[in-house]
Amino acid sequence: MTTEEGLCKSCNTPFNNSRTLCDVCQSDIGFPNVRAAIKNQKLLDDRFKLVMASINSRQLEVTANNYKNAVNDASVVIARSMTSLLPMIDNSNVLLSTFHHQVASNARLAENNEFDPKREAVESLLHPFYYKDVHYAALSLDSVGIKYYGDVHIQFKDNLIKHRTSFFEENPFNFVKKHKIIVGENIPGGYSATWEEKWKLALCKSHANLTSDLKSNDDFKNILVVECEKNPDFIEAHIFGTIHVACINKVTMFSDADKTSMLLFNANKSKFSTLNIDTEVRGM
Amino acid sequence: MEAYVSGSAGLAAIVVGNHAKLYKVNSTEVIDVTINIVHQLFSSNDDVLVLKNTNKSQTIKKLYTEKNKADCLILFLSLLDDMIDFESKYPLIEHLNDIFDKDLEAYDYLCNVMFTRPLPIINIKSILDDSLLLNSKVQSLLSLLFNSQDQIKKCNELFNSICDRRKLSSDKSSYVEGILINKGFFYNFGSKQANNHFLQTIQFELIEKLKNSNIDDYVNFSSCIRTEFSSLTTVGSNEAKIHLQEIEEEGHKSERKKTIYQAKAKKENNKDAYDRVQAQIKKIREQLRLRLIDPAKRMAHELIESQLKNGGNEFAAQSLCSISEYAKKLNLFELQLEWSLLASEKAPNDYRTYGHIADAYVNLDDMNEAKKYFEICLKSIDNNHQVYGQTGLARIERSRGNFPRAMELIELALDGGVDDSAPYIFKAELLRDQGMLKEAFDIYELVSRNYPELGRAVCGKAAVLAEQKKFDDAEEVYRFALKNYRSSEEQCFIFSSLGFLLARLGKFTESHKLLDKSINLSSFEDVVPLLSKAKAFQMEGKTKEAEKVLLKTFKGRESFNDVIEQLLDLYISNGEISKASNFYTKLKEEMKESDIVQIRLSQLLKEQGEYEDSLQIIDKLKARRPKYILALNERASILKTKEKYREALLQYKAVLEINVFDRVANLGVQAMNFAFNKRVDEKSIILDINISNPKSIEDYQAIGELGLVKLSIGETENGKELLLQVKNSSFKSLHARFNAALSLAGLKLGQDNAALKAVKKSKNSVGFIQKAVIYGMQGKVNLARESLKQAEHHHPQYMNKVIEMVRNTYINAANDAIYSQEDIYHEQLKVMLIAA
Repeated sequence: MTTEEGLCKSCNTPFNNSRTLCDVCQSDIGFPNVRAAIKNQKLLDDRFKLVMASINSRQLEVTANNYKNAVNDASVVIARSMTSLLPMIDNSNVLLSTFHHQVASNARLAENNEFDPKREAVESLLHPFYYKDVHYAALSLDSVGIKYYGDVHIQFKDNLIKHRTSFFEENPFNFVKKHKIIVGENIPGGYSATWEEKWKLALCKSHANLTSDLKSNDDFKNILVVECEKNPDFIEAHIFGTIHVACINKVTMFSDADKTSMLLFNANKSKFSTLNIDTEVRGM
Repeated sequence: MEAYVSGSAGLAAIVVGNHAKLYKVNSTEVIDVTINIVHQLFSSNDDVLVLKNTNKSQTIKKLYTEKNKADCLILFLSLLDDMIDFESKYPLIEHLNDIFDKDLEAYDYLCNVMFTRPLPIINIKSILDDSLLLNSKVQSLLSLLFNSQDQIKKCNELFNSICDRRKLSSDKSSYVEGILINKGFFYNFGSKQANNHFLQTIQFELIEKLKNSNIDDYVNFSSCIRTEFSSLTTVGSNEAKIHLQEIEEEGHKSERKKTIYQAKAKKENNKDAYDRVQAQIKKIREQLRLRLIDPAKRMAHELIESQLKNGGNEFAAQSLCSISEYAKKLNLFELQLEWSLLASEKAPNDYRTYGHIADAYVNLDDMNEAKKYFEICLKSIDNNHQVYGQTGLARIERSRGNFPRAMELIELALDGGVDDSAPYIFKAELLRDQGMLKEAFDIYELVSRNYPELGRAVCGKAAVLAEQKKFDDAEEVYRFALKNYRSSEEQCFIFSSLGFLLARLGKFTESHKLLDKSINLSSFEDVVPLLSKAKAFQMEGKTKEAEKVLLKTFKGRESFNDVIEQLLDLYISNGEISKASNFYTKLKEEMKESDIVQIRLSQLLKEQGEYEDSLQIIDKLKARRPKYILALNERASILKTKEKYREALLQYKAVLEINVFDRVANLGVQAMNFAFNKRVDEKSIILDINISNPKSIEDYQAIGELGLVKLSIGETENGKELLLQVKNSSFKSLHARFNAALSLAGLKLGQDNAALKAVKKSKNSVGFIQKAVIYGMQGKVNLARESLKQAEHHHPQYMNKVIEMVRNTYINAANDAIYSQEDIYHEQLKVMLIAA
């Protein structure tokens, strides 16, 4: 692991911030996004103190505690279309990797019109040099992610991702815009958290929306995730590294999903079952 | 405009600056998002395409194509997935077949991808053995793949070996492989369909594509592909036949042979079925042409029933739409509606059927219902249907004379660009309606640039040029179109348009030749060439010939409004009132109800002196279509005939508010001004006419009208010169209209003989009055009385005063005449202006 000074605990030498292993002794130095969140912890605590003062003055301690418990039980969910989900989760499927990943992408490559997303500028502020290794999901109380991103919602198994997941206040694009951060500047601290501290981040973000009548998960879910078509607001989960099919706990679909997605979902049900993935279809 | 499309996500975004419009497949919703959100949404998909210089229509089209491709690939790969049980695969097969039926591009794409690399045979075999696959496209593809694996392997190994020997990096090999996949290279070789010609084409295309890549010596590389793969070309060769035999002799051969033959038989059956349906549709059309409506309906019913049993609702709906469209061409709008309603009942998800219903309602003049169905089209996910719906709504507003609203709606349809010429053509027509000729020309120009195959746009340009009086340019464009658009339908249209243009220019000999060619090429339902021919005769003053053509056209086409209307117009304008009346009486009741025929009826009643009835008809029409210019001008005409000049003036002014360039209304206003003893504005009559160099019938008509104005303001010499120009033109149809005025001018200038000569053969009221005046002045009271008697027969109310003046002055021969000669001239001119 690492020291507070940013050295590898095993060999006491500075390590590369984007790595998971020390370049010198190959010891495990943890995940870069989680390390960054730990580094920010103090600033989050400072922010949290101010938030608690506000909560106390409004006599919302009980509600805040309920919210904390709800967020601690929340899961990380990613939304995708079924057509893009299957190749993503089925890493071991040779046919998918050959024809979907290689052949089809070669055909697109030859058209010279592949997409070059301009995400780096913002995401590299958060995860310099390793942003391409990060998967972006949402923290959710009802196993449903942001519908905007697709009609299939994949809930991950906590124990297989919690050690490599950090949380960020909101969509980094919105954050950068809101805080008027320009390229080259640092992201201010106090807006990210580790798995264990995610409830603090959630309280810091949403305390103003808490009222004494909010009690259950159902009450809190719309506070944690505000679904708005143009710009949904949610706490973003950043998962480092590959996502193996074994990491998936549950797949949820809505009954109004498109025909191909629904057929593939139904066809893959037994496969999901074999892979110990729960499935659920929800009505509108 | 740049756009991103991801088939797997089913999303497309059209980017404009820092914002984008997001489109989701199967949804009509459009969401405005920031560019950052777009990047975030699309970066989680690995199949995003970037479209440059695109428009909304192309983007949406691409979205659906890419979605189908992505769906097909994942569905097909799922079929080969041994972790999915058989039962679960059936719906996937059905869905795949559905996609293939609708989108051949998706099928081709899948073939191109799946033939690129060898597959584990066991995966194909397990699914192929299942009998439920029989006779489907999926089965054919699986079967072909199963039997082609050796060849696919050979091709794949050869390709890899060439890349290895040429020391191509994996990136470069992938790039070349991508090009070859898109060209169908592996599919054609894998399925043993490639021949040397195909290989040669591939070589040239590879050179072209690799020119800008960083592959060294791409020419030799392309040549190497050609040389080495030539050993694998087989089509038509013995090897191909052996390949087929191999298929038949392999294990599972009896079952497979059966499926191959069944597939083949199905293909043949499909073709037979298609031919059968087409033959039945042809028969239904024949019945409709012969007006055998009930037998046509019976045959249609049988056709639909058999299609419902064998082909499914979608095919039945297609046939219904086809015969409904034909019913429309024959003006059988009730039938058009009946069949299109049935089509939508059979295939409620096919939005084209709603378009047909809306169109039928427009033709039946039920705009509220039409609007309802055009609005349904807007709900379709297919952009073409949406554009059709939007254009339809604009069409309704246009028919109501609400041009600005129609323009707003058509702009909305064109917003973001569309891939269809029809709304652009509609916009051009709308601009023409409003006299905005330059703008209309620009639209036609744009359409002919974007759709060079579209003769209609070129003819549109020519028509606008003709409207702009640029007759030489118009003729040149038509002649260019004649050389370049060779289908008989296009030739027919162009011959007819050019022929009519030449008739307008008085070049009747050539005009008739072209119109005859057009008639020879025209179909039964296309009556435009025949109507143009009749009109040409009418302009030429050959009314008997015009009548003959129209009566011949009318026979068998008793429900064609255009023919009825033109025949009535011919009779009325020629003063053959009893013929017009008889013809109208014999029309079928439903034909009498059409708006244009009602207008002619109103004119007929006006000519018969039944002003109140005449006005009542127009008022009814006006209540329903308050901006129907033809009806409004006719209303003004009735009012002026009744001497209600102020009301007539207001009506003409109302028309000018709809279209400031309307010639009839402009002249009407001036005539009313004269009636009020106001000075007449020459400019509003001349408009865009070139007086010094008249060419068309409209030019001469305007010159005649201007001549009348000149007489009215005392410029008799000038007026006479202008009227002589008309007299000397080849448009005999105009002579009768202006001869009385010419005679009046002669009389005023003391040229009595010339004055009499000009009206001697006149057979209209103003001519008879003028003759009475001349005879009266000469003291030939009997002849004057006789002429006046003729004028009194069916004269309009506004002529009462002048008739009375002439009778009083010349027939009754009062010693102390109440009216001076100038008074009579003035009243005559007023009457002539009103009549014009």
